[in-house]
Order: sequence, then structure tokens, then C-alpha cells
Amino acid sequence: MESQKPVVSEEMKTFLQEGLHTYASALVAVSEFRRQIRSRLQTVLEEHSPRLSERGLPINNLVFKSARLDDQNLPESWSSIELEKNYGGGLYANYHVIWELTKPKERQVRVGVWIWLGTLPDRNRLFGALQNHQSLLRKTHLLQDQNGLSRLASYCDPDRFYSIDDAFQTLIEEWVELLSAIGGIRQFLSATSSRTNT
Amino acid sequence: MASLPAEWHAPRRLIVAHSRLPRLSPSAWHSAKALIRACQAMSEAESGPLVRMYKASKERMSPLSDPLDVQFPLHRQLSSSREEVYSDWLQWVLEQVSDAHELGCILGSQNLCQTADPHGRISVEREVPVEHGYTDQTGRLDLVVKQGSRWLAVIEVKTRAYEDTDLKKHNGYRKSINSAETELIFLSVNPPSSDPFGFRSLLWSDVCVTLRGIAPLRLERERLLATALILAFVGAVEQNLLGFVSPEPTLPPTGKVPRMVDHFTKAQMEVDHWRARNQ
Repeated sequence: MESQKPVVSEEMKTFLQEGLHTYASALVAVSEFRRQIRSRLQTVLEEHSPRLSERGLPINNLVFKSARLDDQNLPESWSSIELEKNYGGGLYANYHVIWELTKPKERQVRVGVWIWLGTLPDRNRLFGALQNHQSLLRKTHLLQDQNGLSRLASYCDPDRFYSIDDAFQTLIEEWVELLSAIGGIRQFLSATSSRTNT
Repeated sequence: MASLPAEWHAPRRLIVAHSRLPRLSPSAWHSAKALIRACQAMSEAESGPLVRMYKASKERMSPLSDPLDVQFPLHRQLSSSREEVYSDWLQWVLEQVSDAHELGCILGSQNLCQTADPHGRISVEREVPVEHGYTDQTGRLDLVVKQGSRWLAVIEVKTRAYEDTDLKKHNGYRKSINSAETELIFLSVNPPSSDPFGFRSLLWSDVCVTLRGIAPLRLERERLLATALILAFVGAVEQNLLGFVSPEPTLPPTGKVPRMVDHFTKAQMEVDHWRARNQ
């Protein structure tokens, strides 16, 4: 079979040659970066573990979301590190750090938590209850996505990214306070979706 | 020009196409190199504390030594990561410990600490047959921690990478275990990337950290040999499953140093915790 004439630019050659020497070390560095951020989030969550459990969101078996290295839609302008748990019955919780360096500096980095419930009425009921107590919030912001998902988030100083755990600590403290005010998460699971797996 | 094998045409076209995308421009490696340099610099800076903590650990374990002081990859049986070998030795280690509170801490189980009879004998059984495993199949539990007829904990052991489908048998195991007090534990090197079907994740590194914390309290003459074997187990796990190496005389690779610093820091905290508890 006759081959097609290969088109290999000089830039392509350089890219591949550089990759040969850089790829493995880059993966190690990325892995260590992810591990350190994860460890900081996990430490804060473990500190609040009993209180989160009492309010219906135990943190055992949180899943560390993958780096999506082979995702064709891997974005260049933003990234995130996330811990998530599927509680069953449509209930999910997700804790994360997200950064988007193309935004204005004060909005480049944020920590957050979101809650998803299986049905839209449940999601709206939860957000309504959370909203009723948002006067408790001092440094964080409560939002609802168009799909009904409730989020609590806080922007952080990108120059102090190394102490992201401080911002996450504040977020979780206010989150626990908010959950306490609404009497925990369980009452917002409707009968049809209340079978949970903790 | 000689023709290429057919299977090379598609990949080559793909590579060429990708090279035209701006996101794969050669400059992308500059960022990667900057990150690598920062990682290497951090690792170098961390190597000082690592060596200090390693020396402190060796002193703490005297007349024995730190588990990384012996090279286990040279030991044929343990150099393999066969689950059976590590499960067998873990059974022996847990039986040596036998104290319900210590056992609960090793397994990260407050429940076990609280519900086990502190004076009752604890046994650990291997390969316990149960009615359900994978769909329409019977199963065998790797380890069962028992006190009399009570099943305090079931431990499923993984020493290598696994597929999520490997965990489906956990559903069957849950069906087979009637008692709500039985703690279901999934012991692995890395945290699972999906929920292990109702089992609680426990990491080998955490087991080692607790054993490192308990060991200095078991250095009296009567228990010295058993403690040496427990530390040998820790050494085998840390070297063969976690990829740790002694920081002397040569420092570990860049990517290992911060992980080892964290590990030794946790172990030091564990030692302090157990010393305070026993005072």
C-alpha cells in the first residue's frame, strides 16, 4: 500500500522531542499538585466529619474526580480539583476548587460545595430553605444554577493559593452552619428518592 | 519511499492534525517545565525534613529500626504484590495486635473500637466462604475479624490496580452478611475511583501509619520479635505497594519525597497520640 507523504512540521518535531523528555516528569508534578490540593480539602472535611454526618452528608468514600487527561474537550482556560460523593437516591455532594485565570483577578479562584437532589422540586425546596438562612453567611455566597443545583462558594486570593485550605475551612464552617439551620439534608429528599447509600 | 504499515497511517495523520492546534504548540512544554522545576525544588527542600524524620524514626524503633531500613524487594515472597501473601501476613499482624481499640484504629473503625468487647478474644479468618459474590456465584471473603460468633469486620484486600467491575462482588458480599454491626472495609493502595458498593475505603498507607504509631509501645523484650515482624510487614507494604525507599544513602525520586514526608509526619503524630494515651 502506498503511504501518504507525512507532513511533519519543525514545530511538530520539537513538540514530540520535548515531550519525550518532559512528559513523565510533568505527570509526576501534576500528580503531586493534585495530591496536595486533595489532601488540604480532605483534611478540612475530616475535621468537620462528625458534623457533616449528623446533617446527612458523611464524607467517607469521597471520590477524587479524575484529571480528564484524555478528554477531547479538556479546557485550557480553567481547571478544577473535585471530591464528590453519590449518596444514592439522587443525592450528590461535590467539594471543589476551581480556577479560571482569564477572569479578573478577584474572580479567578474559588472554593465551593454543591448539592444535587434527584428531582427539581426537591432541589428548589432545598435552595429555598438555604436561602431563608443566608443571613448566616459572612464570607460565602449562595447561588442556584439554572438546573436547580444549590451552590455555596467563595472567591479566594490567587496570590495565596498555597493556603487554599484556609478559604475552604471558612466555606465548610459556613456550610455546616447553614445545614444546621435547615435541619440537615435528609428532609429534602422526597419519598420517591429517599433510599440513600451512605 | 518505503510504505508504512497500514496501522501507522491513522495515528500519523492524527498527530499531524493535532500539531496544528494551538493548544499543542511547543510553548505548552514551557509551562510544564516550569511546573516540573517547581516540583523538583519543593522536593529538594522537603528532603531535609524527610531525612531528619527518618533518623528520628530509627531511634524511636530502637533496638529495632525504621521499616525502610531493610530492602524488601530482595525478599522473593514479598517482592510480589500478590494479594494472598499480603492478606496472610495482615491476618497474622491483626491477630498479634488483638487489642480491640488498637485493632479498630488500624482499620480506621471507631465502630469497632466501641462495639468490640475489650476483654474478648479477637480472631481473624482468611478466605471465608459466603453464599453470594459476583452475580449468581458464591464468594470468599479475604479477611473476617471475629469476636466469638460476632463478625466485627470484613476486609477485602487489593494490592494492585483493579477495574470497577472487580468490585461488583461487594454487592453479593453485602447480601451475605446479615449483621448491621459488621464493618465492611475495602483496603487498597489508591482510593477507589468509584463507590466500592457500600464498603468503606481504607488505604494501606493509613494502616502502616497506625502500625508505626503502635510499634514503639511494643518494644519490650517479650514482644520484640513479634514487633520486628510487624515492622517488617510495614516495610514490605511501604516499599512494594507504596513505592517508598529509604532516604539514605540516596534520596528517593522527586515525586516520592513529599508523599514520604506526609507519611512520616502522620506517623509521628500517631506515635504522639499512642504515647499520650498510654501515659
